[in-house]
Amino acid sequence: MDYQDQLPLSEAVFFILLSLLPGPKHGYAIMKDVEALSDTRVRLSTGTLYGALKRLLESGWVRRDAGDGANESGRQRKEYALTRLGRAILEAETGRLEKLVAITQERASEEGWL
Amino acid sequence: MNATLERLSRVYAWMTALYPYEYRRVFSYEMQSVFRDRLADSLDRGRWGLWGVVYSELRDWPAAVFQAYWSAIGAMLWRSIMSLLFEDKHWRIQERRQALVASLPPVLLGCGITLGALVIRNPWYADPRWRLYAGVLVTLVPGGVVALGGTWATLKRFPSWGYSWIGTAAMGCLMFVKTMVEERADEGLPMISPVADTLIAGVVVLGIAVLLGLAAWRGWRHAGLLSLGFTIAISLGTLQAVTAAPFNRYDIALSAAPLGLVMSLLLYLYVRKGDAGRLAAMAGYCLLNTAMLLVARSIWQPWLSERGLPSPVVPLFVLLTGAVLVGPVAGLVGRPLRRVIRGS
Repeated sequence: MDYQDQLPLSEAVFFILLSLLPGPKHGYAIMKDVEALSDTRVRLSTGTLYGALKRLLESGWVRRDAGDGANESGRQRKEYALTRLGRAILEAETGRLEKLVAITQERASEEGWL
Repeated sequence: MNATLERLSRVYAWMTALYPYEYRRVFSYEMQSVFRDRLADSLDRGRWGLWGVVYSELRDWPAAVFQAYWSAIGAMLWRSIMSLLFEDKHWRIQERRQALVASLPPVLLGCGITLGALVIRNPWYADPRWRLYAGVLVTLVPGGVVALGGTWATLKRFPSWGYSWIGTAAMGCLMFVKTMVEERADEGLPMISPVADTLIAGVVVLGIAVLLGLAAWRGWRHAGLLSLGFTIAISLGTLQAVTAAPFNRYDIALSAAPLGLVMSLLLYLYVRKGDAGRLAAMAGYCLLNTAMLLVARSIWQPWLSERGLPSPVVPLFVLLTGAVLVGPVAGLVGRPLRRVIRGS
């Protein structure tokens, strides 16, 4: 299936999806992982994170599950997991970025730039 | 430091309360929990770390709230269409007695105007004083009853029977203020003082807008009833205006009672039947308004033409049609907006 009309992803969305690739995470874990993955370049605030998660939920790229851990108040934490569609979108975006890099490298080597 | 964390968490809880209802319902608790986690972790970096978190949240908060509302507005437009077609489709006043009460304002006002025209019958300077006072009294008493009914219905927080009363009373109040100002202006005087007159007019207009907003909050069918009240006051008020000098057409004003009766029947149709009945009632009001304006035009036009003055008929037609439509249109926005903000 072609997902080109959904691309490119914003950096925040890309990192959120990438963060969920190994498995489900709760909100704060996503936030910290995005920061680590981006080498502290992308620092999401709570409002930005949940705004993005809401759109991803509506698009069906992630799903929201009841997590197994509880926080200090004893309330169960919700976890977010990548759906099959979300994984496919992430793959498509990665492919797009790879193509960009390949084209750039090709042109750069022709020009003796790299 | 714990006290600072608590205080900041409370402020953040207040900030999340400003998101749309549906957003709050799903994410508010989680967001507060994540914010507390962020604050707690930031303590390792000292006070600057803490304030760094606060700064980043404050910086992104307006855009995040705006985006949440923007997305909710898209959903709201869809709900508007659904509301128009399906929501409260079967709303009507169940009790016949209450429906009759809801239908009373036009016939009351109409009878008042007709009785006044029956009593006075001649220009004010040609009739004895007692006749003039009696005529004004019989016109004002039903108006006063409608004003009291509208006030009572507002205090009772908009019962189903009360929308037409509130609408008629509010617009009647505005027209009364306007007439008083104009009468005094003819003598080159303000009603109280120029500032006080402007304030009074502003308060009445604002009051009408608030009433419309409150009715719209409950949906287009309720707000439509309120705006029919607006058009009743303007329409019958215009018919009353043809009795004023130099026209003195008390014979035309006699038609106010039958006109009011037809308006009452249309109101009854509006509150007792389905949406088709409501649309028919609104169309009926537009037709009645047009007919009444054509009659008024035939009286005013020769006098206005002689003096090269513009006709008020077209602006009045726009005003009357606008008055019929403003409620339903406001209701189509108001009810879905209530869902976005309060979720009910």
